[in-house]
Amino acid sequence: MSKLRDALTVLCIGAFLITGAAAACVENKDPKESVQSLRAKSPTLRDKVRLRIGVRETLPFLSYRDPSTGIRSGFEVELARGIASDLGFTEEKIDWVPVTDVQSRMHVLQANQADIVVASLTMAPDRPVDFAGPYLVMPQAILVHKQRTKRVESIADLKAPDFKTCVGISSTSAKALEAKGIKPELVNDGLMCIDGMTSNKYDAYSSDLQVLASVLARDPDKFEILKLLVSDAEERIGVAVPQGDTALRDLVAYFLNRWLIGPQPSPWMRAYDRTIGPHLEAKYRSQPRVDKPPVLVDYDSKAQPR
Amino acid sequence: MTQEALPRRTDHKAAFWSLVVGLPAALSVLRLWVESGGDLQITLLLVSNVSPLNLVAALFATVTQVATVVLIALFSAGGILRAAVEAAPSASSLRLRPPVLARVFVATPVWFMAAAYLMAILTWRIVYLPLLLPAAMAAFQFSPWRLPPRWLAAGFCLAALGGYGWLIGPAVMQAWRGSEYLVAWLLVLPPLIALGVAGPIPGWFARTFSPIALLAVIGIATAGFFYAVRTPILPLVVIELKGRPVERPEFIRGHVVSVDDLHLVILQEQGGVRYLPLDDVGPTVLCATPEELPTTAIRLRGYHVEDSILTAVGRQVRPRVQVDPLCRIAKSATT
Repeated sequence: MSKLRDALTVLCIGAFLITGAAAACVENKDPKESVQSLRAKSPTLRDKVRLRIGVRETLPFLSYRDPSTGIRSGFEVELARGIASDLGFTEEKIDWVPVTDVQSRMHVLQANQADIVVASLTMAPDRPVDFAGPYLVMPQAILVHKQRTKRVESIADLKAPDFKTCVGISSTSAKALEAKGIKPELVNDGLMCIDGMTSNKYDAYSSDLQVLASVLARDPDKFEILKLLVSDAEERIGVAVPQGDTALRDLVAYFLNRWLIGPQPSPWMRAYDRTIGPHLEAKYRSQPRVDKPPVLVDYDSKAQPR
Repeated sequence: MTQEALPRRTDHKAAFWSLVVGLPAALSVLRLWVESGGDLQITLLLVSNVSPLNLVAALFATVTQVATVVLIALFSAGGILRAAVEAAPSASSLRLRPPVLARVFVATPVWFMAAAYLMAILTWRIVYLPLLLPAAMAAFQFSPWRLPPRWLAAGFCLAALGGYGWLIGPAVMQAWRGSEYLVAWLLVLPPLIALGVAGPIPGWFARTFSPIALLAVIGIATAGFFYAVRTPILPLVVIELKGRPVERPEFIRGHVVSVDDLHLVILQEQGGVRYLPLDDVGPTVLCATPEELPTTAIRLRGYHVEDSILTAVGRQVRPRVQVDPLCRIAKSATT
């Protein structure tokens, strides 16, 4: 019995020593991939002290620049500011790059004129840029003149030869309408559709709901948004980054996801409530789930989660 | 333990107090030396600007954890060897030449040991706290399950283990799922080891264990010493200099040594001192170092296992952690 007890004690002391050595191993373990280490891997961010962000300038509450003051506002502008801040760039270290149509939004990334683009770009896999997000999931909708609403009761009514529907070229709305046999008038920039709607050149304008909500907010007495299903699929709007820069994509996805799972109201929610949120239905007031957010550690990782 | 086996010697006390007072003072000076990058003039600059009180406070805040690791290791090995000496026959070599660790253990006041354990509970990372249980059992040679009546002691131990299992269960599952097996091991095994670690060990094992334990304690102390002298004593800041071109701002990462009416003196992270005119000093922010990044995501009942109890309490008082954008941009611009 005594020998058994001795053996047990010796065994426990041996296990204690090994466990102590295991503790030393834990202590000396290298940290996992961190925000800082991933940031260093991004060719776009390497040695950058200023961040160039592509945004639009003509959509109030979504992405707008006041021509008289130069002040930028809107959901996408605030979202871009939040992402820039998380990446290490304060407001005064942001260079805003104006973008217009879909082609120009992708071109500024391809031509190295911008580092990220936050401009209602749908996360389509065939586009020559990479996406982090989505930060919005919205249906395609149709904006019409209030006085002409009676003419449009179904999507089929858009096929009428005298009914002019405007959409931006290369937009997903154009593809969706064409798939339903509707031949819209394609223009380079959605801005031309808005001008055409104001001047009564067009009867309808089809785009993502958040864009139309912005147009409607500017002139609620003249326009209205029809609750017609243009497409079965909803548009997943993401932050565009240069193709191949997976480090930057992952960083943006990480920050968007951290907003989603972190303390509320998150930067996303605050931006939404201050800008486009009041102009959209309540069902859209929740940040969508982010695609493949990476597991990273950061200096605040030890803080209490929500 | 009998007085004959391990007599208390009064010169132990003198050596003990010399160590308690002298070691932190010597360590503080060495830290300044290392902090200066080995440069004599910078060392003198630091000595002239860092007050002794601040130095001791910084030392206490950063080195307590390491110091208690050394002490707890010493007490555990000392306690085990002391029990072996006590159980050894009177003519045994263990009795004639008691191991150093056992003698140091006997010379250490109980209040000091209690204080060391208390500081360890407060400052050790949560993942290491279970190790204190077998360490305490080994040092004080206490086996609750051997106390009479045995059925009551066994019931108490089982209940305690059950409660502990409830406490750590979710964290162990999280660690297991995340393939963090070492963390799971450190949470599960120590209380089980604690049940059997106390008790006299055979003489042959004591004679083998004694030099290994001594070497281990010396190794831990050496590693702790190098950790202590390398730990910064001044906080890390990033300063953006004013008046630089917008497209090429300049950032300085380093430790502020002093500020007077004309200059801010900063010890740069990469080495060297700069005297910055106050008019040049722009936004200044406090930044964390990469060494502070966690290595695991495991949480024990909401608390990160790499936090200490003191840190966890601190996080409850000030829950918000802010990573200033300047810290990220300045890091990438200087590396």
